[in-house]
Amino acid sequence: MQQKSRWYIRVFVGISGWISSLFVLFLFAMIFKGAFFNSSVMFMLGILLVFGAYLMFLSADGDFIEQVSLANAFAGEALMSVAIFNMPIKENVSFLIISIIFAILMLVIPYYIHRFLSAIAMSISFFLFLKDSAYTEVIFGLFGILVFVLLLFRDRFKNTNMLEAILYGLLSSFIFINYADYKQEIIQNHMLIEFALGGVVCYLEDTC
Amino acid sequence: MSLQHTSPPLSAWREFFEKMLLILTGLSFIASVSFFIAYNWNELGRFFKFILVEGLMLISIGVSVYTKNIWVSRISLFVASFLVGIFMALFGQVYQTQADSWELFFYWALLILPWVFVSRFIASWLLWVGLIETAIILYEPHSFMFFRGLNLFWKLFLFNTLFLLVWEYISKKLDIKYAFVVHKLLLSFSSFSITVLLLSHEVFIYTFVWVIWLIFIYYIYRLLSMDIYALSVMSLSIVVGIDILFFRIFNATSFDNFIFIVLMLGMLTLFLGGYLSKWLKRLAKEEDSYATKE
Repeated sequence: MQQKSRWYIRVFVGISGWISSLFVLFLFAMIFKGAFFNSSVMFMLGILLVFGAYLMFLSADGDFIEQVSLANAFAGEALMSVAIFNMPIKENVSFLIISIIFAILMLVIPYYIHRFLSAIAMSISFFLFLKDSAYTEVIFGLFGILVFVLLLFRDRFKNTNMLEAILYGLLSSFIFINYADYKQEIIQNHMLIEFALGGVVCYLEDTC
Repeated sequence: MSLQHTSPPLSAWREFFEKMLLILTGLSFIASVSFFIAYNWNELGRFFKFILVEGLMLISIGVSVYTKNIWVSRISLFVASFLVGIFMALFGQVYQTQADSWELFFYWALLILPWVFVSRFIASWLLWVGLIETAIILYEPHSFMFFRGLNLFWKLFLFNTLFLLVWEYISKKLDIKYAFVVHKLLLSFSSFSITVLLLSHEVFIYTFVWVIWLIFIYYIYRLLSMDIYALSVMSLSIVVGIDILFFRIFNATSFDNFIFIVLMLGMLTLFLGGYLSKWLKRLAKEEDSYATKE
């Protein structure tokens, strides 16, 4: 299991992993041209890639292996998401399934950056699932408060690293959601408070 | 604290909430002044508007000078810095000066600079950098030959790199190490803009400038001093830049086997990313062990 490094090194590893995953996706798209029109094959390919990445994460002993597994995991998740969208189901159900998948992967794959990014993906897909509901702003407002309280008390929990990665991801996604949804006037009132809370957490952590 | 698995004591909580409430009060005050003037624009006379903003500015400065609480002083000065901008915008609206929009932000930044130095407050520095960056983005020179027709990223790169050099110089002369966030922002803007420029038409010129910039960053932040943030930014620029350049070279030569290009680029990114992250982690470890010995 990897040791926690400085945040900017983690950002660098995350972005380069993302770029590599784009190339992996491209490669798969070109090799398996036919498979990309078939949702179930694409989904299976995604599961295989993520499972491979999971095995590599477990035995990850070097930075190169870490990069490869991160790229594979991102590529696999992208394939699975596209496959779910291509399935003949309602759009908001697709978002719910994607959100559940990311929640499972976030808990299972033992890697800080992966947990952080999966938490963002999970939260955004869950928001898109709830988007038409009347309670969206209430639910996300309460989530925001819960995330903030948990962040402050995270060192009281057993797996601090895991909790921290997930909570930072959720907090970032809330800010992103507020920005993206600004024009539709949903939950924008929480924006200032969340920004302030996020800033204060950063300030306390001395990570900014 | 997280290593010891303990939570902050009660006094730290009180201090934290005091600071947070003060910051929120300052921000709400600024918002209320600007909205009050905007909503009552037709009802208020111009002299009343000027007296209101100038009066509040004087009160903020007075509070900042006479209070014994350092945080109240800093936030009052921050509010006063913001009120300068509101005052300048108000002046521009009342007298219709027809000035370019970049001038407002540039002169605002220039006027509040002494207060920013005095306040020793990160939020003030963030405001200052934000104003300068906005001025650069809006700057459309008409007469200054060298800057005529420059694209946005080239403009951002030139100014941010120049500011970075100046910042490095003055931060050593003056005691402003606490405003490390300015240095990080300038570095990030500079790196982002030169890397984006590699996508433009004049690729040879920008590649040359990019290589010089990489050497410069390595020399300053690895050989002369040690700054792992700067080296991380440089590493990211290397990975993205090399990908862009390779892609452009192979695309230009209309290489038939596209699968081979993607495979090669994927491998290159993985190896480079892996190697550079290993290098950065090693440097961080070295720095940590050095700090422990100290």
